[in-house]
Amino acid sequence: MSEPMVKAEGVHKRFGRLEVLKGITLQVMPGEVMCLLGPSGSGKSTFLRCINHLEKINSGRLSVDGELVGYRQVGDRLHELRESEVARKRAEIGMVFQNFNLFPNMTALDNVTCAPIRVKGTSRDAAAARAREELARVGLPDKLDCYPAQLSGGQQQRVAIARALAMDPKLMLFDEPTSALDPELVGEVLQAMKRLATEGMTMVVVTHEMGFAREVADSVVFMDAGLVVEAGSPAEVLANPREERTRAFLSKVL
Amino acid sequence: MPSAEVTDSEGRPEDIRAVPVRRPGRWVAAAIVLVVAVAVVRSIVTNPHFEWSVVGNYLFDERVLEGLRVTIELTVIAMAIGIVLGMLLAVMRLSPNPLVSGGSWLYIWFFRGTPVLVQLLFWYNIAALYPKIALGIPFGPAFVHPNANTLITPFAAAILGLGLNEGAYMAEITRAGIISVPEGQADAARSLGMTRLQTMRRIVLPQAMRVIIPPTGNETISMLKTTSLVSVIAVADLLYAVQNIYSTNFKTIPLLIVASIWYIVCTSVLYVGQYYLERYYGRGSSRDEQGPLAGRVLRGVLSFTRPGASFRPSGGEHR
Ligand SMILES: Nc1ncnc2c1ncn2[C@@H]1O[C@H](COP(=O)(O)OP(=O)(O)OP(=O)(O)O)[C@@H](O)[C@H]1O
Ligand SMILES: [Mg+2]
Repeated sequence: MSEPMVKAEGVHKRFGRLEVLKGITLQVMPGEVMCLLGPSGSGKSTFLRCINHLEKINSGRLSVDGELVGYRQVGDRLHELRESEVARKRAEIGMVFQNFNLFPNMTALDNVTCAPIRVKGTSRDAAAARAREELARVGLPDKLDCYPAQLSGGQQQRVAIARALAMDPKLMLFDEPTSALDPELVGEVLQAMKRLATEGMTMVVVTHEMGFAREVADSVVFMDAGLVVEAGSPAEVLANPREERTRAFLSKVL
Repeated sequence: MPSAEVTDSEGRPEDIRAVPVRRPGRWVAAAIVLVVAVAVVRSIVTNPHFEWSVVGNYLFDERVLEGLRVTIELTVIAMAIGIVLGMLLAVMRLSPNPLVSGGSWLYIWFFRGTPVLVQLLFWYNIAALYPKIALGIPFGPAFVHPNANTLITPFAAAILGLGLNEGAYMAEITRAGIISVPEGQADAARSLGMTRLQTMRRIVLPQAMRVIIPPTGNETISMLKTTSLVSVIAVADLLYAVQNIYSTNFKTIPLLIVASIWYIVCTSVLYVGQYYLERYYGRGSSRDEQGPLAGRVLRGVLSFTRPGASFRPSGGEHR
């Protein structure tokens, strides 16, 4: 068996005295699509942010593609990674946010070319060619010169997906990518994500879109109050939840 | 309610044409402004004490132009120092290290807390405080130790006084700009693999510029005029030049007018520069494109006197 892409063992995260993650243990295999469900405040976003080290974990082990996140192990001691090393690892993990976070002062094309040029040192022409390709794949070949304010929410989120993909990530994190969208715009974003899943991208998706979870996810994890309550295939967790808390949550969102 | 849609020859719905609301107050106010303006201009033109011919003679006097050059030079260099220093101090102030942010706070506290004129005099008299300035390892051997009096010329004292003081103000302006950028922007940049520095330089600062530029324009205009303080430490700026001239020919008022004209010309140029900078950094912030400056000013003026279209009974309601 191959190594897991994401491996969390007893991950704890505190903000001051507030313990947000209380020992998360889970695995995401390469090519797997995992959906994270859970009530508001259960720590889903925090866990995603820990995976690309936007937040530091307080205890436990978290590794991506076999390497610890944020640390290097020498003997039995952990050494903090330098900022440039952390940044290099982040560049291999794409992240899509609930409120898009496109750069408002750049056109769609510049949003997508910015990181390849600045981080990877790709030439301007090569980055632009790649960006056109990615924007065409998310269905926006004619919006290259639009600023985010000139795009609909669904279009903005698809630009954000293209922006992440242009970095050739080996793992994509989605934090409620459709929650800020009008219902009729949700489909176009899910479509882009579905295509990505069929192409074999490893994805961790926080979402309340049960249809997407049922159809696309290989595994579903239900979190509550900083703990994994239940994990398994969509059929197990969504159709026949074993835990009472899962059942209560699902009855509300379905 | 039934509404007959009014369409033009090409079938598009016609624009609404309506009699604008009458605003008699505006016309009264405009008349008062006009009368006052005419009175002021008349007095300026006819009062012989203004001595406009003298103003004309000295406007392009070599000494005046040289003073103007010094004033512009001081403004540009002091603002450059202020902006760079301000950026540095602002980033320091936002540092998680309390020593770094505390140092920045202390600097801002000190330089904002003392009058710039006092600071200028301090730098001018620095030789009394530190006769020798040594460059070397702190508390260790010095490599060069020039005489303070030769290093800190009046011009250098002016630059130091104005620039270091400006840095404190620019720091606060820059900090306000930086914290106006939503945190999600930095999250997005870092998730793409940018380092803290890259995120600041490429993503946060360009967006902060929208907030930073208007008060910076203000500061620059203010600086242009504050440079006139340096005449007290014998730097031959614009004010110093005209003071020199009128101390011999006693044409005080006309020469002060000469100086004022040049100050106003410079600030006007700055206005235009600021407009274009704001437009550059405002990219993407509004959905419609803005026209060039002249066109917008013209439209602003015309919107006041634009003849209202007369009401045409069209029998329809417009939504
Ligand atoms: N930077 C922070 N500082 C302090 N507390 C935080 C911070 N970020 C998150 N929290 C707290 O951590 C808890 C979990 O937040 P998190 O955003 O991970 O929840 P979530 O499961 O993503 O919820 P939602 O579905 O509403 O997005 C919340 O109680 C939140 O207030
Ligand atoms: Mg969340």
